[in-house]
Amino acid sequence: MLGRTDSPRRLLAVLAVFVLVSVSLVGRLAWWQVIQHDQLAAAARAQISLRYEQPSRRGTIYDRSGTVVLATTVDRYRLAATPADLAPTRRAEVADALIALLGLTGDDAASLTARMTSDRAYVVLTRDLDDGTASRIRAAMAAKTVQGVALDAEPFRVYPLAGGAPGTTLAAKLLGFVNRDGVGQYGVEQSYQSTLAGQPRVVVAERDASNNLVPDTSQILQPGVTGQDLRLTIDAGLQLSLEQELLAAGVADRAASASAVVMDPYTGEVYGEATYPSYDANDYRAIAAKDPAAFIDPVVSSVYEPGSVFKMFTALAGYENNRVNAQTLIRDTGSLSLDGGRIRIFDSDKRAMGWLPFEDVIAFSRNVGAAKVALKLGKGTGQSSAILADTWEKMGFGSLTGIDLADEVPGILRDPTIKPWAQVDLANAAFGQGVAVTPIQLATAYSALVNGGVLVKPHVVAGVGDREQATEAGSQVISADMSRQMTDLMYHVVHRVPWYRDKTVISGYRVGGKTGTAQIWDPRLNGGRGGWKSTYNHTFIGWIGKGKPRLVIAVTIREAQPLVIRQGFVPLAVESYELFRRIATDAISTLDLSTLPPTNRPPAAPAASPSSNPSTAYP
Amino acid sequence: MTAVVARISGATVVRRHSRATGSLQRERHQPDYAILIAVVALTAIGVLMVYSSSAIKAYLGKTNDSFAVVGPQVVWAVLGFVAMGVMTRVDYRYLRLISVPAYVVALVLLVLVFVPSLNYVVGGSARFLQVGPLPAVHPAEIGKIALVIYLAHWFAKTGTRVGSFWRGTLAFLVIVAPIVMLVVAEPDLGTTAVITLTALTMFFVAGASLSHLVGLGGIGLMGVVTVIASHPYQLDRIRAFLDPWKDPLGIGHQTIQGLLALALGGMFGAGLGESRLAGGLFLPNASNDFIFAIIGEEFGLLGAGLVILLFVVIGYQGVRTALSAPDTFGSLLAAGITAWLCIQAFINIAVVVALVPITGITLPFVSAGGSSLSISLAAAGILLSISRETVERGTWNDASADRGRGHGRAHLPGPGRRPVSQRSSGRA
Repeated sequence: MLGRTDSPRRLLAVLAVFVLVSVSLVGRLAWWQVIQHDQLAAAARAQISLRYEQPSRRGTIYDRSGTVVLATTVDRYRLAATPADLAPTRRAEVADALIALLGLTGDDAASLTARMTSDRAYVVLTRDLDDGTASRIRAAMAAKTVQGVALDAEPFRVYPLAGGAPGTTLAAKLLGFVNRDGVGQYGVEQSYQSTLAGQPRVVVAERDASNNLVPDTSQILQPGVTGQDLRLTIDAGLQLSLEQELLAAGVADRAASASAVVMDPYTGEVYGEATYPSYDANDYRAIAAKDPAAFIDPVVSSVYEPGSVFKMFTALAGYENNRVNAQTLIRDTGSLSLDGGRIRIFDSDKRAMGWLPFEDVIAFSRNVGAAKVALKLGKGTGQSSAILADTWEKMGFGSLTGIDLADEVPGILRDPTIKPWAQVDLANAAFGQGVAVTPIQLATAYSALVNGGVLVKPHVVAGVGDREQATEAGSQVISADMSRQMTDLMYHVVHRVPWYRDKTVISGYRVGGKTGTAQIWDPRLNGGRGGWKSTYNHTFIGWIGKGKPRLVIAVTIREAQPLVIRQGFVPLAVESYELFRRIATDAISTLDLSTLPPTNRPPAAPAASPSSNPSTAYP
Repeated sequence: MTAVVARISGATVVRRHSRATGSLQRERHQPDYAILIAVVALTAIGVLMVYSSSAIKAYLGKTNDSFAVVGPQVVWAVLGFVAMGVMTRVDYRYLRLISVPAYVVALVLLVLVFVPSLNYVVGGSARFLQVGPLPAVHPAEIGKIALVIYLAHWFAKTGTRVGSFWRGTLAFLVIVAPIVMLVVAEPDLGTTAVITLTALTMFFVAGASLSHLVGLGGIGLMGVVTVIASHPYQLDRIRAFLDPWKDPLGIGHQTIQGLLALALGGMFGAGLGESRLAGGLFLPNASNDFIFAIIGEEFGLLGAGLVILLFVVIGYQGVRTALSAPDTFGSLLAAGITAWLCIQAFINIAVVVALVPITGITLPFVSAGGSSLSISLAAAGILLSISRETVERGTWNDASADRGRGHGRAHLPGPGRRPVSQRSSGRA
C-alpha cells in the first residue's frame, strides 16, 4: 500500500450532503403528513368512500276496500354487459344467443347486436325484464351460452288493473305514474311522493379504483323510512264502471273528453274520478314521447267556462239577499238590452217564455231571467257584481279546493272590485260566462249546496299506512236552510223539465241537478278574429240519495259534437244528465248508499215553501 | 494451520498463516453491526410492507393467491442474506480480480436486453432479461454494482492522477459512458440518475478536479434536458411533478395517490395492514416504486421517518467505514456502495414526497423485486466485509500520499509518475 489517495474531507462533505437531503425529505414528509394532513386526508376519504342511497320499496296504492291493488312495485331486471371482457367473436355469439332468448327482431335485434359487439366496458342492453325472462337468461349464463352479462334488479311500478277503455289502466289520470328515478309524476303518485317513496337508506362504503365496493366496509348513515301504503277513497268497481260509461259517452258524443267525479258531499271523499280518454300508465314512456298532455287530469288541472250550472249560484245569491224565492215571478223576454242599448243578451233559444216562477227560470235555464235577478242583487251594477262575485268566492271558486292530487289549478274569476263589471258582464256571469272553473270545484260547491252548507275538502286518500286520514271539517258557507232550498230547487229542475225527467230520474231515489251548456270561443277561428266553435261543453252536476242527497256527481263532456245544431237545441247522443243517470245507477249498484255516512239533516220535504216571500217581480 | 486469537484494542485479530506467503496477516474484527441491523431491519420492513401492499391486489389477480408477490420476495431475501453472509466473509480485495470481467459481463447483459426475444418491458422502461427458465433479472442492477467495483479499483490504481484531465476526467467518462448510455437507451432514467450520481460521488471522493466536476455537471445537465425532451412520457412526468392536480386522473394520478396515502397516515399511521390506497388498488406500483407511501400511510410520519433514519445510519456508518478502511480501494468501494444505496433511497423517497419527478426506481431492501433486493444485500455484504478491517486513524497506511514531496501526489511507478521538471528547477 502506497498510501491513500481518497479524500477524507470530501467523504465528510458527501456525508453532510446525505444528512441535509434526509432532513429535507423528513421536512417534506412532515409537510404532507402533518401540515397538509386534514385537507389531503379529506380528499383521500372522499375518493375511497362511496355514498349511495338504497331506495325504500315504494308503497302500494289500494282502493277504498284496502284489498284491490291499483299500483304496486315489483322487481324487474336490467341486462347489462361488459363486451370489453370478451373476444370479438364471442361477443357476436352472445348477442345472437340473447336475441334468441329475448325474442327480438328487426331494429331491436340490430341495436342489441351493435351494443354487444362494441368495445365498451359497460353497456345496458335492455331493461324491465320480467322474472321469467331473467331466469331464462340466468340459465343461459349457467350453461355458458351467455357470458359477460349481468342482471340487476330494479324497482318497477306496475298498474295491474285494466281501465274502462281499451289500452288503459284503471284510474290512470288519478294515479299518475312513477318515472325511472322513482319520482311520482301527476296524480296521487306525485302528491304523495314522499309518503309513498319513504326515505332512502343512506350507506357509505369503501370502494376501490374500479368502483367496486370493498366487502364489509359499508356503514349505514341513515336507516331510511319504508314507503307507506295508501288506501284511496276510490271504489275500484265504481271507478271501472265510471270509465266504461265515460268511454261510451265520449265516443257517442264525439267529444274531446268526458270527465266525471263521484263524491260524498258530506266528507269530500271521492268515490270515483275519471276522464275519457285515459292512458296506459304501464307504458307512460311512449305517451310521454307522443302526447304528454294525455297525463293531465282535467278534473283538477284544466279550467273551462261552466255555463248554466252557475245559475245555481245566481239563485243562491238571490235567495240569500232575499231578492227572489222559488215562486217569484219573472218575465222571460227572450232577450235583454243592456248598457244603455249597446248590447243585448239572449236566451239560448232566443224565445220568450213569458211570466215564470223563478224555479222554472232555473229549470228551463232562462238566461234572461237569471240575468234579471243578478242585475237586481244589490243597488246598481257595482253592488250586484260584488254580491255575485262574493257568492262565487264563498263557494270556493277562484281558490284551490285542496284536493290531494297534483297540479290543481284555482280557476279564473274577474274581481269586480279591481275592474268593475259592465251590465253585460254581470248578466253573463249570472249564467256562468266569463268565469273559468274546474270540475272538482263545481262538485265541491254543489256538495256545499246540498250537504247543509258546509264547504268540504275533497280528497282521494282514505288512509296512509295503518292510519286513517282524518276528515277535515269544512266551514259553513251557507245556512242549512239555504242548502235545503237549493237542494229542492235542483230537485225541481230535474222533475219540472220533461226531457230531464225522462233521462235523469231513478225510481226509488231522489235526484236533483242542474245542466250547463256552454259555447266555446276559439280565438284562432275566422283568421284570428275568433269565433264560436261548433262544439259545446256540456255539464251536469247532480245529487242522488234515498231522501237526502248521498252522492254528488259532476259530469263534464268537453267539445262534444251535437247531433243537430239549432238555436238553443244542441242534442247529444248521450246527454250529460243521461250520463249522470248511468253513473248514478252504477254507483247505486256498487256502493251501498244506505251505509254511506249519515247526516244530521232530516230529509227535505219535496215541496218546501220558501222561507221568505219577496214581493219583487221581475218584468 | 493454527489460529491464535487475541484481543487488541477491542478488535478481534485473527492471524492466519498463508501457505503461499507464509506471513500475510489480515487484521479482522466484527463487522459494523449498525449497518447489519439497519439492513436487516429495512429488509424485514420491506417483506412486511410488500405483503401488506400487495396481498389484496394479488388475491384479486389471476392466481387468487395473496402471497403471489411476497412469496418470491421472501425467497429473494433469503438468497440475498446468503449472498450478504458470503460477501461479508470474503476478502473484498478479491473483487479487484473480478472487477474487469464483472464490468464486461454487465455491459454484455445490458446489450442483451435489446435482443427482443430475451427481454420484457415493465412500465414503459426498466427492461428485464429473461433467459430460459431462470428468473428474470434486471441487468441495470448488475451494472450498478459492477461499475462501483470497477471504478473503486480503477481510482485506487490511478491514484492522484485522477485529478488530471486525460488520465482522470476523460478516462472516467470513457469508463462510465457505456453503461450510462445503455441504461439511458433502455430507457430507464431513474437508474441512470442513480448510476451517474454514484459514479460522480466516487469520482469526487477519489480526488477529481473540482473544475472538471463543475464542467461535467454542466454537460450532464444539458444531457438530461436533451433526453427528457426526446421522451414524451418523461415530459409528462415533469408536468405531473410541477402540478399533479392539473390532471389528477391522468399523469398526476400516481403522485396524488402517493400524497393521499401519506396524508391518510398522518403522524402515527393507520396501522399495519390498514392501508386503504394499496389494498383498495388506488395507488399504482404500491409494492415497489411507491412502497414508501404505503409505509407512510400505515406507520405515519414516525414510521416513514424511521426508514429515512435507517438509510442515514447506513450512510453515516458507510462513510465511517470508508474513512477508516485499510486501503484506498476499500475506502472508495465503501463510499461507492454507501452512495449508491443512499442516493437510490433518497431519490425514491423524494419521488413519493413530490420533490423530484417520477423516475420508477426501487427503494433498496424494501421494494418488491428480486434483482434489486438480492444485489443490494450482496453490496451490503461487501460493505460489511470492509467494515471488518477498519483501522484506527493515524496508522501508517493512511499517511499522506505524497510523503513530504510537497505536491500532494503519491510516489507512483511508471513514466507518468511525476513531472521531471520539478527536479530540474534547481530547488534541491
